[in-house]
Amino acid sequence: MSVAQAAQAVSPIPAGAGIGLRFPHHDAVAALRPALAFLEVHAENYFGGGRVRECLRDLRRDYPLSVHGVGLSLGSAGELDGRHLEQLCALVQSLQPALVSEHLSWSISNGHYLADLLPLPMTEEALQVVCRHVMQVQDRLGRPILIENPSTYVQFEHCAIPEWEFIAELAARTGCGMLCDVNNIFVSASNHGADPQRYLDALPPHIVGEIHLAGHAIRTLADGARVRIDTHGSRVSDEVWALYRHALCRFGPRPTLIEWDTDIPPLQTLLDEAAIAAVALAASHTANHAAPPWMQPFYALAG
Amino acid sequence: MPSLAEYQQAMHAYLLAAQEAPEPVAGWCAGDTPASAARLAIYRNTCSAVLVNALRLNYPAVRHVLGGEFFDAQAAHFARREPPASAYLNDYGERFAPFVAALPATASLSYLADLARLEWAVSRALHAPDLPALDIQRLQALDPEQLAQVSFRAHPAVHVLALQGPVERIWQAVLARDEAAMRCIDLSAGSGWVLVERDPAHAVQIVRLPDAIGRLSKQLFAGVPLHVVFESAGDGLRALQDAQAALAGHLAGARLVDFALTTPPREGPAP
Repeated sequence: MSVAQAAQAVSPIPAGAGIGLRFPHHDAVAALRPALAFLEVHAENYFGGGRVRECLRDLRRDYPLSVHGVGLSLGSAGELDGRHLEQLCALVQSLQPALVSEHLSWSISNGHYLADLLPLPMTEEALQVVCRHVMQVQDRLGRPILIENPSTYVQFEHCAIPEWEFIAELAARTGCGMLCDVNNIFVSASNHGADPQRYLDALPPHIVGEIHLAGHAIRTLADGARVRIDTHGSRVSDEVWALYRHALCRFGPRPTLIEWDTDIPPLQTLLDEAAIAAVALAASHTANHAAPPWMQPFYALAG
Repeated sequence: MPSLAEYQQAMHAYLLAAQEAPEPVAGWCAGDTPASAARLAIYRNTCSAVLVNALRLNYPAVRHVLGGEFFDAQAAHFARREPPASAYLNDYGERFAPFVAALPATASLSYLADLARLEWAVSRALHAPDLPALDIQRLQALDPEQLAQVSFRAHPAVHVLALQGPVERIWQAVLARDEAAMRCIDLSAGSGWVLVERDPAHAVQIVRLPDAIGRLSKQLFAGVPLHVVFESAGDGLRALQDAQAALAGHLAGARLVDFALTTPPREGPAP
């Protein structure tokens, strides 16, 4: 590694607790500089310039950063939106985040953005499409990315591949890692009558580079069925905290993010949730786990 | 199970259709079809809510004038008809301004079209990417004939608009919920040009421009070749001074970021 490359080394995110940074908390985080392991932002919120971009540049000097994309639509049967990929690439080059992540889902069809993380059938065809797009993104960014498991409300007939196997195979074929959203695993398993712990136990620990935690809601549908919805609008549920502690036992400590996107509460509420995660992380540090490749420093490509 | 493309086309049609008809997607889901239909509606509701919210964020004053319920219904209708092309939703909704102004129900609001155009310009001023100003030395390196052919590119945060009435005052009063100011506004007075931009502290500024400067600025920002802009200023010293003032002001104000050289029209027949 050259000196120039070493100078560009981006510190890894420590296996501590962070929060998703949203506009209503910009000023409070800038003023208070709370003790957090990292901040995560939605990439698309910072494609533009102006005040929000300047605020993020400022916070970037004090916090490791994770850039979390929601709009690449890696599971679309068609081509990726090239302009969107270039916007993401420009943001990543400018911010030099420690982690970049996206979703195992699709949102774009025939050139129209459908504004939700839509479910993919777990088929070999879908796996090949996602692999191709993940490789394209990693080649353009010059670095590996993490892929987040979705929360789903429907499953498809004749889907031979369990989701954990789909993600493990995606990681094996492309070199990407997994952003393990423990709330999503719980929501999906509840909605499909499955065992969330079985999902966690089937994942290869070395692919997990980050964990997400969030709150969800329970809704009663028109047909009387009760469904868990991934709202990101409340505290992490007790069941998800329990599942998170199980995940830490299995994977070892991992950077852990508290996400809150709707009905955004005062910053202190997020800090309180992050403090709960930090305690669980501290306990898991005492166990003897090998650090995965995601915990090593990432070296940005020179130029 | 259909191919991935077939499934995505069917889901696309379901999410954006005016009538809820989850077939054939519900039939491809595990479990019984009515239960799947109820669950697919979650995606449909999210899709609509996210797009309506994006339009709300770009048109807050229009929404207040029209009332939340009416605005949201029209925004949902617009989103089904013209969904965004990209996931960068700050860029979504330029065509919502003419759409909402053309609705029969809004015909009595004479200022609505301009209010929507103004809000779109304000949204651009908030969200446009940061770009460095044009380096004036690049212009100084041109000879006079090249200079005449210069076609500028404006900063994407900068817009100049012709408004029919004191629309920026309506905009301010609506967002401030200032009923007293609203009552004092004379809709028949105050037509003219405004410049919308973000200042170095990232605040949005809306300033009135003299008519001549507004007209010339509109052309400069649209990339009209410089000699055409100067010719359109008219004859006489005052016209020349106006054109020079517009150009100098925008260069000094970092409102122009790049230029290209247009080809002059050929004189005489082509060989």
